[in-house]
Amino acid sequence: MNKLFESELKVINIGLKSFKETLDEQKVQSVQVDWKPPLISDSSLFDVIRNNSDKIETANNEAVKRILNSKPFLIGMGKAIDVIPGMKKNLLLHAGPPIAWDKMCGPMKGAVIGALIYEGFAKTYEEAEKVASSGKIEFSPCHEHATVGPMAGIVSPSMPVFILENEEFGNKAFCTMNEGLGKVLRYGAYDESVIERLRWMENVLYPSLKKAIDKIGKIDLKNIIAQALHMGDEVHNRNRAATSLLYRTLAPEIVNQNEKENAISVLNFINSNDHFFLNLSMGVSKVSLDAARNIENSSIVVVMARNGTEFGIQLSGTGDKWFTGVSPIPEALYFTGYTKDDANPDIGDSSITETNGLGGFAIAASPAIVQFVGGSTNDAVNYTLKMYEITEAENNIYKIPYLNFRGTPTGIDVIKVIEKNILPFIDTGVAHKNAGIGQIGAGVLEAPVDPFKKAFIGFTNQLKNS
Amino acid sequence: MVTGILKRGEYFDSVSLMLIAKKISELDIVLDSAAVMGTPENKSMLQTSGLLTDELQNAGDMDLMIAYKCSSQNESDLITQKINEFLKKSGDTAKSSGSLNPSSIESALKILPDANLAMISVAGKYAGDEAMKALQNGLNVMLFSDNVSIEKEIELKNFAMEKGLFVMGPDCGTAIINGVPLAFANVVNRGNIGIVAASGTGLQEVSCLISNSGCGISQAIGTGGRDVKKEVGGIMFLEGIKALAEDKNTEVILLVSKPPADEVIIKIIELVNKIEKPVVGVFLNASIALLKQSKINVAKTLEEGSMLAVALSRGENIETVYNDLESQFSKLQTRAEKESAKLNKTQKYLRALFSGGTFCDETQMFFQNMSEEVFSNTPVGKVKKLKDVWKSEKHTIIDLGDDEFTIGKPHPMIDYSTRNKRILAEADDPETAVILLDIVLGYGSNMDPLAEVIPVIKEVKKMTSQQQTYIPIVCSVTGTEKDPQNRTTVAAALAAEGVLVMESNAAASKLAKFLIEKKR
Amino acid sequence: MIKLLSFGDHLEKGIYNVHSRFDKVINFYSGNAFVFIVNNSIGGGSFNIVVDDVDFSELQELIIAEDHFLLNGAKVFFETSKKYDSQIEIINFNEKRFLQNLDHFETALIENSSTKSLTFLLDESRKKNFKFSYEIEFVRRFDSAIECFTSSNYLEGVKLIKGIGFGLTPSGDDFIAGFLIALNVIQKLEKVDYSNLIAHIYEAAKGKNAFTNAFLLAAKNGSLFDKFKNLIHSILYSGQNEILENTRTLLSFGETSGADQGVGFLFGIKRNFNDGNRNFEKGRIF
Repeated sequence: MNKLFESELKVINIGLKSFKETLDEQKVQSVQVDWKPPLISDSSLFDVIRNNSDKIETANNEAVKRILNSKPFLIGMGKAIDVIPGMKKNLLLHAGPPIAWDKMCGPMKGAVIGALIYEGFAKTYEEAEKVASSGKIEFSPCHEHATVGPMAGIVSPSMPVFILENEEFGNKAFCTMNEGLGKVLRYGAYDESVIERLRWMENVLYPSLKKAIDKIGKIDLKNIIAQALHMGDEVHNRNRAATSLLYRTLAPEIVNQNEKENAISVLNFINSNDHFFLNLSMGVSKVSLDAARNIENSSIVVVMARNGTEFGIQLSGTGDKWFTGVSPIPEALYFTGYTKDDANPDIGDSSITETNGLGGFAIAASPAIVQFVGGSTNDAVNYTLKMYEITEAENNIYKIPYLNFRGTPTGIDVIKVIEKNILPFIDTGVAHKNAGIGQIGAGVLEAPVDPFKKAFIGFTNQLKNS
Repeated sequence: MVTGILKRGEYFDSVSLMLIAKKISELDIVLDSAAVMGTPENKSMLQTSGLLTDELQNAGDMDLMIAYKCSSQNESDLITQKINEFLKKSGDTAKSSGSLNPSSIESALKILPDANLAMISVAGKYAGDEAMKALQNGLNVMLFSDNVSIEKEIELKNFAMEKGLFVMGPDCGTAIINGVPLAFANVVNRGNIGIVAASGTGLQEVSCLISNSGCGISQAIGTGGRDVKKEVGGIMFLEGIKALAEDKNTEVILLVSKPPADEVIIKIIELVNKIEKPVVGVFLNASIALLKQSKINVAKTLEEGSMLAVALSRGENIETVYNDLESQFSKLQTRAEKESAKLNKTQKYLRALFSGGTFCDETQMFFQNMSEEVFSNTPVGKVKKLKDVWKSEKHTIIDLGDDEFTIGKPHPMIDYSTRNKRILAEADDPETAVILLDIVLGYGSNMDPLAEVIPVIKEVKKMTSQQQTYIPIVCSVTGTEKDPQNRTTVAAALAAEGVLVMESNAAASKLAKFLIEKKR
Repeated sequence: MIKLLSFGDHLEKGIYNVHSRFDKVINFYSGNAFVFIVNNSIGGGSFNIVVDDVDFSELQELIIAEDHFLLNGAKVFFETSKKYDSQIEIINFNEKRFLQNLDHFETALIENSSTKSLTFLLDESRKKNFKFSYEIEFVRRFDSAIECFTSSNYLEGVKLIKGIGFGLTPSGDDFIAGFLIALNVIQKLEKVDYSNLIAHIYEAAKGKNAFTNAFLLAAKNGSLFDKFKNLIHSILYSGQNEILENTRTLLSFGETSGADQGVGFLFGIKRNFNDGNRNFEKGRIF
């Protein structure tokens, strides 16, 4: 029988705040719920979810367990063509969901042009444009090749890539080396200086790093991220600490190599680029989330990615299906001389970090960048706290000092996103809409609604039919 | 070098703008500056001052222009960054709230893991789903929201019954659990009388009357009015009775409801007959035939019900209650005689204006057998439906809490304005013999009812004295001394204005009725 | 639940959108018409709807109909008893008291206003607060404008100052509004007809900024918002303390807006009251 009469009354109040005030006056313990109507009002869909809740819970537990148990290591380097599954001579990988050449935004087109020149498919912009639109070149999302790339995310066959392995599950992931700031390929720049840097990276940086990594054997990246979170990084928009930690790990083996000139330039290159670690934090996220793919009935998000035109997500339980919507323009703080009018819609695979409980989800760990992306420390803490509402678990390794070392919110559940009307929060850089100008601001954004609505509907339909 | 920052369509109140301008001018690397709206005139002024950059040329009237002069690009970047900080801060001050409330029941449970009740007052369309989530998480539910479908109500209640949980509501305005008044409820003594009520005002009235007579309440469970209808079948009403039967602090059980469906009455009787504890029932206007065969002590009014419960809880013979009512009867008769003598010929009719719905029903019960016609916006028994709810006819008894009066307005227990206007209209009608009112105190109700009602009473007195007439105002005050509004204070203030203040709505209705009958 | 405290006497029917939002004020517009949803600390005005029990941050939609308005879907009737009267009535005018009170007002204005307000027109020493080139130009323009006004070159004066200065309603426009209000008040005090002058000034001051225009239009019509009305009332009928209090309340509007309107009003009265016959000859100034 009901135990209510025998216990002290403790109330959860959903709705009118005055009721909570009355309870406060009477010294009754209570919690106010800030309730919002769900994003989808068709209650028959929620009935489907409710009727399958046990199955979903089991599947989601499994998915999250895999994400948390992943053990990502940096194990080596290689040329894209040699190591990335499905890579071909005439294939270019790009960020975000699938997109055709003519739908690509400025920065992505610019990066494609640059990559074609770099690969020797063309010598000039005009030539490259012709080649790109000729149909001879194929395009495919990085994500469909166990790869991730920031901003335009273009990966071409000759580019050297890092190889990450998830020791727990044996899967691998790949990512390029970060080029630094300014005029760079990932922002769509393709002039000589860009190509020259890419060649230097291929001919000097790559061999040196490869040798160093081979010598070290493997580098525990999860550990580096865990430490970096305690040092003010959220490893999306701020990678200063993680880059430094990686530098400390690599430096002895780089110095140990014969060519002193090269060692100096390699170390300087890493040292001068605070974002050098970004690609690796994305790779870590990718290799961890890929382990949670294809779990039947799981509503956990395993990819959030943008191609500068569309924002797409994938769920563990819906296989390779993309659910997409228009990519939003971030609310950002713009660098002097730029405005929102100059901004490209959100672009890049880097939101894989948020999908993995880092980046915007861990922003409470990174007070240093809060002002940079516009906001107070209080906002940052609230952003992170809010993300616990839509995630399945708290991370076992990534912890936030300010929140009493609470684990970061990990494993976005699309059902929670829809039910609670809370969208994932991403903190990100903003690209100029024209190719090659580079980063023009940094800011925060809510993921768009449409991909999540579509994913929710797709997921429930699949449940209905199973 | 000169830098211009254009903030399109962003509005800052001038206080923060000036503050920003001041902060900019205080940076010692700033050689010259201005922060003004982009009117053509301001642009020409900036031009004169050499501060109009290309970017600012494009400013519109409603855009904010910030221009400054400094000596290098580095300085400029720094200043821009500072300005953005200032702007951001000034925009944020209103928003920055300390901690973040959880967004769902599940997250709230992480903060308060041993919570045992969810109070739900979100829009009816969603309230059912939230209630289901609460039940799934092992919480009892008080569902304040209305407009929850009856199918949902049945689903919730069946689910709750299986889990051994309560669903109070939908449309449950009041309950007292473990001594804590919830939503619209009064601060009453704790004691040994347990209440199950399918009527919000009814619950408030009986709990206050019991408390005011020195006894107290163990638990008061609201079920929502629809629970005792045929479709729901009294699921929670019956569960409530069972829970009180088992509750060791409850010695007497008091049931309050508008007439339940016959099927439900039968179930109630079956259940009550198995219970050892004495049970009192107030089922307004219900046919007593069925109830006679049960061991329920049936009361006709809320007042009688509470008196019976009090007597039983004290172990007194219930005959004392009927004696008390008898003596109250004669006192009211005397009082009515005195008042009716002051009326003139045209004054014939009752005008009852209620904020509590159950009072409207209870008073109709008293008046339905009058020789003249009786009207209401929510008629019961032999009472007729008002043609125009805004206009009284003959004897008129109004529930101002009904939908037609509350669209876009708070409940009349909070917002007295509609009733105040109606009081003046009735006072202006030469046929009005008596105005009958209720004032409901407690949490949720208006915190200062005197400020609402006293000016109107004064106005009525002024009107009538100008016309050299007199209209008695009879009013019951539902509440206790411990309520935030304090019943004693309210009653005294009303009496001081010549209002005939009664302990209960039943007594007030009787006085009004006698008054009219004496008049004849 | 929205509680209506007062509504303006010049509201236009229509479907309104949010123009700008502040803590206690949401500005709605529809074409050129404005309606300001405000709380009680702002008070009544000819375009204001004063409400209570409303979460301002959530307000989105406003529809004004004949006898009611809809705010975020909630329907509220305009009850005649809550209609705001923006006009001021003159009864028992006492000239001596009025002139004395104007002095009190001037003192209160100077002592309580922001250093960047137009009170430098009343007190030269305040000009030292204007150091940057924009501010120096600002002071220069006002000095010239005052000369123009004094020599009855009203339109020249208006052109010099309209649209310039600080705040959402630029200081120049605030000044002009105060001046127009002064002319309206004098009309009532002295039975003179300034309607032509008022219309001309209004036409000259109007800009592209609908927000400022709405506010100038009110001044043109002699429509006063609550706090300004109280102030003028106290200048007409009461004494120093009440004037001080009402001045402080007025100055709480924006950083300089209230003060700038006050200066415009004071100047308008000083320039034209009792003096109109000597310095103000109708028809010549234009």
